[in-house]
Amino acid sequence: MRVSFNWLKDYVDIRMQPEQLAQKLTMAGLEITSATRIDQDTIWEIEVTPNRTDCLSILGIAREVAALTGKKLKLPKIGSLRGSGRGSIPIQIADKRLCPFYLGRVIKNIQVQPSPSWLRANLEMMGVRSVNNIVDITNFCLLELGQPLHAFDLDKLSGQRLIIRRAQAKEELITIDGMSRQLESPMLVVADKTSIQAIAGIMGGKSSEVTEATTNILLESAYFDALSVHHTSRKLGLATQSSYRFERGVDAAGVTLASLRATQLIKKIAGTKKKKSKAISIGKLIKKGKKVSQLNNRVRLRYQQASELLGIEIPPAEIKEILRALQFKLVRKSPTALMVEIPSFRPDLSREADLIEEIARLYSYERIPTKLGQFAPDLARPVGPGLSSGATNTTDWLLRQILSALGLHEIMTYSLISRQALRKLGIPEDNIIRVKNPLSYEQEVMRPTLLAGMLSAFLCNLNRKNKNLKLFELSRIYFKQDSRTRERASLAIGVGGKKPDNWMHKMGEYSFFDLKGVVEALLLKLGVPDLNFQEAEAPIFIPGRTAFVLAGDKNLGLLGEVKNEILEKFDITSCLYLAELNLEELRAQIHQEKRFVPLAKFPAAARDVSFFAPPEVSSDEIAALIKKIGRGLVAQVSLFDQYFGEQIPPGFRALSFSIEYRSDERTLTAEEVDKLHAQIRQALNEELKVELR
Amino acid sequence: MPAKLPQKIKSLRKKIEKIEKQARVDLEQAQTQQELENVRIKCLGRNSELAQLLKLIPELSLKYKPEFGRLVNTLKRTLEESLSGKNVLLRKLKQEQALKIDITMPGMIQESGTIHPLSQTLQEIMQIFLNLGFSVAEGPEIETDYYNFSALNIPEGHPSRETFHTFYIDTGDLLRSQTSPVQVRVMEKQKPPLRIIAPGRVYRPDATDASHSFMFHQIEGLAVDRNISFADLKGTLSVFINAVFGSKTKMRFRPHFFPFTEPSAEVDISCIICGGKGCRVCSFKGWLEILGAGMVDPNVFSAVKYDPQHWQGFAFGMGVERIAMLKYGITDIRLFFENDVRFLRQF
Repeated sequence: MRVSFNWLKDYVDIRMQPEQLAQKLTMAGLEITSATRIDQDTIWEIEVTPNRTDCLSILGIAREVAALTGKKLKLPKIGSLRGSGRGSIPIQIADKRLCPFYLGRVIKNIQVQPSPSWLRANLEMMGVRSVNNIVDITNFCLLELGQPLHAFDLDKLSGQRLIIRRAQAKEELITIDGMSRQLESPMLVVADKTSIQAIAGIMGGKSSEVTEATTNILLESAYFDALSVHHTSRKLGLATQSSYRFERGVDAAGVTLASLRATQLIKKIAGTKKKKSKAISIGKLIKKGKKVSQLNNRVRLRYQQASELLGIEIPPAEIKEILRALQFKLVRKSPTALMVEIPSFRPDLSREADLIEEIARLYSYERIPTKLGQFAPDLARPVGPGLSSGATNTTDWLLRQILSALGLHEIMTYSLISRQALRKLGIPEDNIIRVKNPLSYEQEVMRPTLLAGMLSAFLCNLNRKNKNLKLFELSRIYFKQDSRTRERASLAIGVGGKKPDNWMHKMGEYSFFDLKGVVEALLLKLGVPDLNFQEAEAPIFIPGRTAFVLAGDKNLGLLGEVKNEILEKFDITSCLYLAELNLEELRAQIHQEKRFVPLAKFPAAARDVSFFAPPEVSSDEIAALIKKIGRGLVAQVSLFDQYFGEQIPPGFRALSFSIEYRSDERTLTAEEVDKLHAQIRQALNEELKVELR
Repeated sequence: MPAKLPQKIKSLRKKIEKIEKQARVDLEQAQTQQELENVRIKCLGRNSELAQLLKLIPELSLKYKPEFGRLVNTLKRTLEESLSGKNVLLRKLKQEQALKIDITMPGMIQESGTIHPLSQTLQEIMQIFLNLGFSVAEGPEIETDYYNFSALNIPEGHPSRETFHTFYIDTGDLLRSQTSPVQVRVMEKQKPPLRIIAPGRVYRPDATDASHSFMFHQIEGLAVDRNISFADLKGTLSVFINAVFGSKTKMRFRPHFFPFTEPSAEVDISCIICGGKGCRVCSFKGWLEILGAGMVDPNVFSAVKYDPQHWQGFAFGMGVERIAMLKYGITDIRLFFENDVRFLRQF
């Protein structure tokens, strides 16, 4: 809401600088968001919250200033205007719910001409373009009083009658701005005998607008249903100063006042000085419907309730003073409570809490103490169902700490992604949640996986020549399950690009085993039991380079090397290794309780074994067999070399394991270890068909 | 074959002197551990002159034996001491030479990763409220109209809905435009008194620019008890503000409107850049708006079947991105979601 400081001064005695008053208003809930000096005036932009419809006018702001500064409000002087002139037309309200109250007045023999300079200046300061005196007067009253008005060219109204009704399907109106508007039921319109002349409370029609040729008008001041104006304005995509006020609710008592005010001004500046028969003629006020009365305009205020809610006892005398300053009537007073009558311009106030806010606002929030007395920390309070004293949160924080310690950067990507990204990943759309009103194609669906975001993070970084990429994201994914929406916590990990070389070591590229190492390190640190990996298949990963991550037989997720054709679709040229784990499953597998295991008392003896392994034999199988034959005396098996080369039979690979033998009861003799080692070599050869070297 | 016996001690002394002299020369010349080892073998080894002398001792007559033995053993000790002295000297020398490295060369850094600045900010804020006895509650991001609006006293068509642009999804539900629905869900399940905070993602279809994002994070707070007042709200938030922005930061409550609180306030902090003097960050106002708060509206209590006559409480909500941007001096909200590692590495 724009406000001219000079105009404001017409309605209330202001004895302070604009800056000072701006500060006062801001701290009372009318935030001055900008102040501009123009000539001798200051123009404010005030943020009026949706509840304060009363502040959408200069008079409303003046009323607030008066209450805050203790000055008297100076209302414009409007005498009674009975109207004795000829002319009255039939007005019918067909929908009393959407238009409970309508005032019309016929005014004849006016002279439409440019406005006098004071009127033009007032409108211009407020950023409203001057049109002609009649239109300017309706706009002046809207800005001054907050009540939108409309003037019809009476002679253009077919049948010289008006009906306020709902539009019918396919009715049309060319509005004042020259646009053709398609109307439909239940939009409320003002129509003459044959056609629509205005969209009620929003904008008038071109055909009956007041022009320089107009001599007779019908002045409309009405109360239109806020919701109806809101819906129509939304549907038509047409928002005006008028609709803005109606949809927030105008002052029921202001409808008559505005009509009188406009009539008074029209009489003053649009009258002709021609011969008597052509003198301006003010018709009688045509009243239709009933004045809207507020439902709950009496509210009880208990002093104790105010002090309990605010945490401070404000003396009753001060409370009464505040309420009177706001022009509230105190209809009954007792030592403990007040009955307050709320004026019609404050439809937002209907409950005790609303009054307490008014009191606090004028008393000043700043004067309310800052205390933690009643509200001391209560750590013994039991945590309710579905709540955590940070448990999920602690787990997630632990994950973040471990992964970042492992050298990974946490990323955050948007929950909304494009359908194109789904297609690129080969994800069918059956169980995808779609956004009905996306801002762009990039926000069409809710992500069913974190991998799409991970890929875009890689793309962004690779494009910017950031080469060493180890990333993770811990967030939700969304999908439909049994036709209901589901949200599930997920963890994505990705490595790719080039490891950073240094002067001592040349590091090379990332591989599957770098990613697997991160996953293993994380899950081991979290205490996930029986961690194992099994070959898997997935649409986005290269077959044979994809694995399930399992805790025992609980599937925690997948990891693998991304297929080239998918990388190409995302314009990524470097190899990528991604994992996505079901965080809910993973959380259930976390075991953080520690148990001490006694340190080994007896020394270990190490022996190596090297062989050519046939293609179908896996490292896990070899290790398992070694342990089996070792009968509890194998403390550790570790693979320390893999080699492919010409000397090796095709498909085979040379593997070398180091085996650590140890007993918990005694020191093993060299003979014992050699014997067991020989048995293991033999078993590997016989059972797994490896060629020993 | 026995060596020729020195019949007189005098000649033995000469012999010893000669051995000692030779040993000194040899030791002097030894520059490496290996050379030193050769000297040791020559002086003390099985075929050394000393060994020859020692072998003679048992054959000597009693007359010469004690004196001879004493002299030879002294020689042995002297040689051993000289060798060991030289050994220490050589090792020290070797270490001195070995220590000469270019210590300005880069170390082998194990580059650690980072936790996203928004996660860090969220965690910091949550920790403050956990310390004040709040619990953490989470709720769905896909919400119903009821929880996102109606139960929060935002009826259909009410102008206050205008301020909450909302994404709708194909099932008819919506993406929550605020974390406040979590308040309602918790109160439905749990009897008062309670204190919760609810962190999470929220969505509003606003065009993205340096200060707006269609997706961002909020933290919602709610405390309900018999006697929780606006003054307690001010107290709680001042603890929070001082913890996050420092004890010198001032706080200011401005009346505002939110459908779910009455009275409502917007909370400003004195500009952390200029300290309140006015600068570009605070648009020369000296104050930065950082959160919304108020006393829970009686209609919200009624919606969850709490008796507004018996219970009162406060609620507050803040944007995590806003706080992180102020805290770290980040000027573009989009940086949080672009995930450029040059950005992430800084936190």
